[in-house]
Amino acid sequence: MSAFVSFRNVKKVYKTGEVEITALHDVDFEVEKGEFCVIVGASGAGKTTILNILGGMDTLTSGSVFLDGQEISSYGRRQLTSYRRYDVGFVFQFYNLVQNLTALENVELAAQICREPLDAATVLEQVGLKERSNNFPAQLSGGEQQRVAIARALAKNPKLLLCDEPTGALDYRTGKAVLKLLQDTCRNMGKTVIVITHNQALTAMADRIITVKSGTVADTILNEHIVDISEIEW
Amino acid sequence: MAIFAIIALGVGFFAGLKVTRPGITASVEEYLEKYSFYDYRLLSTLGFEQEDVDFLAAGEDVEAAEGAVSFDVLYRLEDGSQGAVKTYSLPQRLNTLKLVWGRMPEAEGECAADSNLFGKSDLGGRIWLSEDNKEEDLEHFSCREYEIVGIVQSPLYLQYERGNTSLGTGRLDGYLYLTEDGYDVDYFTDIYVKFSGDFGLYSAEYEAFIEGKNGIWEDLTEEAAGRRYNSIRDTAEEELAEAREELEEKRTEGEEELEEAQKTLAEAEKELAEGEEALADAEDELAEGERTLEKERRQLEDARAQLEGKEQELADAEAAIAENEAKLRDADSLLAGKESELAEGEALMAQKEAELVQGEAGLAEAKDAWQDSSREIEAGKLQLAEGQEQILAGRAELARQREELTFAYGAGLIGQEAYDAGLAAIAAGEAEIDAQETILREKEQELLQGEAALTAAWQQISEDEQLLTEGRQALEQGKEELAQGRGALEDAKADVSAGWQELNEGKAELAEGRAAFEDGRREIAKGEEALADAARDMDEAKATLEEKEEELAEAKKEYTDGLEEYQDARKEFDGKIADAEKELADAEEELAELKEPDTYVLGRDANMGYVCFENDSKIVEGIANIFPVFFFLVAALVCITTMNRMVEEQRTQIGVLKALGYGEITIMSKYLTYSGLAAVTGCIFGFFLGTWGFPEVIWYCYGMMYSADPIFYVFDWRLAAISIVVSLLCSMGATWFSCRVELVQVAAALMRPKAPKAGKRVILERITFLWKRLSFLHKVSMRNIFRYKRRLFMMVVGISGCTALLVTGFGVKDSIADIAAKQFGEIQTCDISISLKERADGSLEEKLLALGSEGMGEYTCVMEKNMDLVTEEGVKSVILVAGKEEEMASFLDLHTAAGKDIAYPGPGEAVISNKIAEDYHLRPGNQITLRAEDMRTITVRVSGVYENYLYNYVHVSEETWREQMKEEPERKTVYLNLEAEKEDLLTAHGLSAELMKLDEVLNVTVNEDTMERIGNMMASLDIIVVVVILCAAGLAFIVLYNLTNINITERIREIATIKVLGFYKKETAAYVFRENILLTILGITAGLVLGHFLHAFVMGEIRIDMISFDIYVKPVSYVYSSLLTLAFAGTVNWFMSGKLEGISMTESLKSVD
Repeated sequence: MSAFVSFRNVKKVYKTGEVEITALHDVDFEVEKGEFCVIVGASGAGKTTILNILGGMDTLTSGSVFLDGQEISSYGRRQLTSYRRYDVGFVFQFYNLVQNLTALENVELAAQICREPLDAATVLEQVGLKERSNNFPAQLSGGEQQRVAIARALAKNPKLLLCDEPTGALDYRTGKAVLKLLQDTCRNMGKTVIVITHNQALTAMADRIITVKSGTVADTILNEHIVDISEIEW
Repeated sequence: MAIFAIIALGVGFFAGLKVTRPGITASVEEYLEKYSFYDYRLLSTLGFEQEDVDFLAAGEDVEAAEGAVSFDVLYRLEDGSQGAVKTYSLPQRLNTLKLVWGRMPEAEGECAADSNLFGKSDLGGRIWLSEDNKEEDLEHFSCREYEIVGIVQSPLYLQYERGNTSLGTGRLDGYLYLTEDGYDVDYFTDIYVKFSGDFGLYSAEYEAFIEGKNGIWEDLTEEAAGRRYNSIRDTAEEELAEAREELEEKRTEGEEELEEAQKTLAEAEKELAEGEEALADAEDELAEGERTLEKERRQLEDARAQLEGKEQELADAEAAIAENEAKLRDADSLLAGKESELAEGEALMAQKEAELVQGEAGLAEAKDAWQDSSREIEAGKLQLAEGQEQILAGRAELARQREELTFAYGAGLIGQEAYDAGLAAIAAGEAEIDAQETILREKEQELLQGEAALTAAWQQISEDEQLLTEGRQALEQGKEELAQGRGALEDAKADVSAGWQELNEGKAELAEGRAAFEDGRREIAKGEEALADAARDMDEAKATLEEKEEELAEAKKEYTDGLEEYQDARKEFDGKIADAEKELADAEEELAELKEPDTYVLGRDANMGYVCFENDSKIVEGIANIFPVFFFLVAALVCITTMNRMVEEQRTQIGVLKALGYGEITIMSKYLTYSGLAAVTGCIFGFFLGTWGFPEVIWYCYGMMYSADPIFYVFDWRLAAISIVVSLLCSMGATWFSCRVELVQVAAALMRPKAPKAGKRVILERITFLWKRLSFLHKVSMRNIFRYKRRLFMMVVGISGCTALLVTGFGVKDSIADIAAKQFGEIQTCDISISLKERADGSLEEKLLALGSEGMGEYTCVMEKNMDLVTEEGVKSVILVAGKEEEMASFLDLHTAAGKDIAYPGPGEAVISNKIAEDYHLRPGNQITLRAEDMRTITVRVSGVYENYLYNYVHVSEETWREQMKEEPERKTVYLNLEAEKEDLLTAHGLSAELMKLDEVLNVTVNEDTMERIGNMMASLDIIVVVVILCAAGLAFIVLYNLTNINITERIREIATIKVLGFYKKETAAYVFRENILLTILGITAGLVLGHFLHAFVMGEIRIDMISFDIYVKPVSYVYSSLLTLAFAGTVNWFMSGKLEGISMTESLKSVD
């Protein structure tokens, strides 16, 4: 049995008029189930594209992507949607909460479309926002919002948790707390978590570190010395 | 873009609809002008002459006047189809034709035909005047068949409706134009007049102008018609007189001839009679003759016997005569002796007489002498007396003289001498007197002596006289005796003479007798001979008689023949004369019946097409007044939202610009320019598209009903200006407002992203029990809906506007389309109504009953009268209907708008139609006053207000009229129902045509026709509905699109996120559009309510006098409106879902910009 997530010769070309921009080429990597994986790279290296493809938000030009034995790259739109719906949880840089819904409702929004959702309130409690569950996003701080976003992602009970610069819009402390939450989730709930970041420091906490450079995977390192997030400084 | 679209739409609708009426009106005006549409159509029941046309053409303001001939006629086509058409004479100047195909007719057997009825393929075809036409109708035409050489359009028929006729089915199929030679009449039936004034079509100025002309022209027409009338009458009278004269001549001639014949016959008859008589006489005579002959024969026998007797008698008589002669001779001699004796006595007597006469003479002398003496004595006595007197007088004188003398002497007057002389003279005088006295005494003595002598003489005379008288007596006695003697002698002599005479006579007789005897004998012989002759004659006469009888019989036969001939001739003559007289009488009657012509001055408003067009264009105008306003409202809203969003979107840019040091005005002008440009381009685009497209579309639709030239483009500067100004105001105002809000902030604030609008709990959440029932996603939608109030408002306004428009559009159709059906189906339920010339009477009723076989059912006669309703709020013309309660039920169904029945008005009550009740705020129980044209009034109490759509009616009972007006109502209208089982249009038209043939009938209206006509007219409303649906669709699209677009753009991250979250396409769409759908439903709900009122308002706007619209929207229209709106919304959503699909999920990764 192959790896939980595997990219094989993935190539992505964006076409803008006459100009072809190759965002990714020859991307090959694997992530095992239950791993906390960090994809790191400079801006424009192609990490977001990888995330998009892995998240079923974008298609690839050539190559193939497998998740839990399923070839995502061969999915049609609808299949992709189902895939997103049941198999993937997202955490965005800017939280992307629905402003018009309370924290709890935001979580419920995701939960109610899943097959085996976790209880929204419980998840919120897990992320430590029980008291704020009835607040609107605007009434929450950034960290709180991101936690709601994580709770939303978790409530779906996905196979894979994708996080795009989850700390990018947060201050150091809050970012740490969020990362802690993610790490805990991974450890406690056995979820596969993939975090995209440009912050090299974060690699220390990961099980697997994938470095992306100029549209291709430069390096894949299995971290032997996992450091708890609280110990990482940047 | 959105601004451009909405402005284009708004302006397009506004300008388009606004310009439509002027546009189509102008086109029609142009069309009418081009073909010289008339201003007046003058009609006279007797027609007009060229003279009249010229007369009228000379009137004030008249541009042209033209006579025209027009008759309705039944036609037949080659394929046998039949119908009725109106024929016209080819116009020269007025109401000229538009030639569609072919050419204009030139010869008498050619015609140009209605383009609605015939097409190009009919060119060269033939059209026959049907044999079913009445002879008198056919007489108007010079041909019986016409060739179609042209297909034309007439301005007289703007609309497809062709009108009614008294012929055939009562409907006209179309019209034909013939040349003047195609007619066989010498007068014009109509005169068309066109004025030179230039007024707008349907303009108030035109109406005022015509109004001003009406009176004058009525008089003019009357005058012209009067002239025609006079000329007809004069001609007819002249002709009649001539004919009469001729008749008289002929009659006289004929009668003379006949009379002669009769005379001849009479003579013949007389002759015949005479002949017969003569014959009879002759026969009689013959018979007589025979009888006489017989008699004579017998007489002859008798006479012979007598004759033999007479011979004996004669001999006896001769013997007697001889004896008598002897006796007579003796007597003669005796007589001679006696005569001589008598002669002696007579001589003596004569002597004595002479002596007596002598004595008597002497006595007479003596008497005379005595007489003289006596007279002398008397004279002497007188002288004596005189003398004595003189003496006395002388003495008295003398005495006086003496006295005087004495006195004088005594007085000394005279001297002694004179005195003495005087005394002497006196004495002398005395002496003389004394002498004279003496003489006198002597004379007196003498006289006394004379007197004595006289007396003695008288005695002597008396004695002598006595003697003489005695002598005379004796003489007389002697004479008498003598005379007696003489008489006796004479008698004797006569006796003897007689004897002689007798004798001689006897002798003569005897001689005669003898002669007669001889004669008789001879005569008898002769008679016998004659008798024989006569017998022979008789036989001859008999033969002749027979011959004559034969002749007479022949003559009789001839006579009978003659008589027969005469009678025949007479009969023929009488017949002919009677015929001629009848003809004359007929002609006279006709002439007498020739009434003063009725004239009509009909304006354009009597032309169906003209009026229909006005009404239809008014409806367009009414709609044009309402809808654009609405559109502008929405346009403004859309502008505000769009600009608001745009400015918000660009706030960072604004901030940067501001930070860079641009002035507020510069920044604002950027946006203002943008919105202004969009508005201006949109406005221009919309304006031209609208003003071109709308009239074009509407005109195209109208074109199905109206025949006119293509519409031409009308550019209205004012409208353009208004459009531009309003659209600029809308867009730039909105922009300015939005910019102001942003610009007041400082640059830094602007550069920070605007905090997303905070989520809020909505009020609905407080109603927990409801909120809890909503599914999660619905909750989301609910919250979203209430999040953006402005958008909610706009959405609801837009959608409700759309729905309201649709409701109104359908409602207009519902309200108008059904009024005819309702009016004639539910209210005025009679099938046919007839106007009469005179008030209805028994004869008409009989005629109506006679038409029973044609399918006529019951009927009632009522009075329909135009009256003025006088109220405090004004005067209104209404139609008063007075009928009999018991008969009205099947012709009139009075009920309220709610459907409750209203009782027929009792005495002093009235039921009025709802429109007047509304207009003048009348309620049951109010008193109303109605005024007739002669200012008499009738006051009644309103007992009910009934549902009515066409015209304004006031119903009262006949009793009310009678009571208040003190007269019988003028029943000049008949309501009539068809028999139930024959109730179809064909029967109705057949009956209508039959009714039109009645003399009393002025006009027949088949209500179903009216219904159909109005129905057809209302079909034009479909266009309106289509237009409205288009408008509504446009509105819905723009509003929905715009808002959804804004909604999506604003929430693009959110949408991307939920997509990332794994929402399926449908779910995503539902997530977004659920709000739209909810809002749409909300909008529809509001729109239905709004539509209800908008409809009422629009209907109020397009109020047409005489018509009360049934302000009513069918439930199904609400349903249609809702469904259509939903469909629009659905389309927009479907369209937008494509856009949703296009949202890249990667958007979710982007930061807020």
